[in-house]
Amino acid sequence: MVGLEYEIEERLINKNLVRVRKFPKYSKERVEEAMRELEELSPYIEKVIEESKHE
Amino acid sequence: MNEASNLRYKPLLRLVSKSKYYHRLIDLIAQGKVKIVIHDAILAEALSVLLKSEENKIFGRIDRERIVLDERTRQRVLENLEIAVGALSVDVVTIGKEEIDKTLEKVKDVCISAFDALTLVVADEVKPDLIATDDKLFRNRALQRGYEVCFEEEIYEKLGLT
Repeated sequence: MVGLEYEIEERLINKNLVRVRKFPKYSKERVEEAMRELEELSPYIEKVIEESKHE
Repeated sequence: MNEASNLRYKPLLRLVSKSKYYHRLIDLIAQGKVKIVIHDAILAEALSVLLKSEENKIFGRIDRERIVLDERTRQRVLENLEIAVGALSVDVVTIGKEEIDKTLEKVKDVCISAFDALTLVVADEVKPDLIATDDKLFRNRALQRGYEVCFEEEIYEKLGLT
């Protein structure tokens, strides 16, 4: 199973205390890698969104 | 939502990909002029789209009934989403049962899309003093709830960017 258990933290947004998900920190290299992979995925993302509109 | 303290407005921008000003509005995020706040359900939807896109990339097709990616690839896609959320400083608002019930109530009682209902639930959490949208129906919903509303094009003036 893909792990989806996140810590929850309270953050002040627009002067309101809001409960938000806290995500893990990743190394700079991993961040660059992820952004590159997402960039490569973008034509497929467009296609999936386009196809879902016709369902 | 704009975080700059010297500006009059801390608006909520309802950003949808069909927007005429989509790319200009996205630039506001890159410039740090607006902050993205999304609901849990939108994160789940984004993960679903990324998993299906990865399948499309690897297999050249999409299985509509199940995710066929192996566990390692799924984890990688989730991590990539977490990283993008972090890089864009997106706040994912966790909304509990009570708020989800309110969303269902709205969808049930009035002709409103779940996306719009969720956006209003998020708005009620962060209480923006301005909502920027070109969507006529959403505009009316927001006005009925007492929010100040402007058109997307007007947000630049409101943020002092013109």
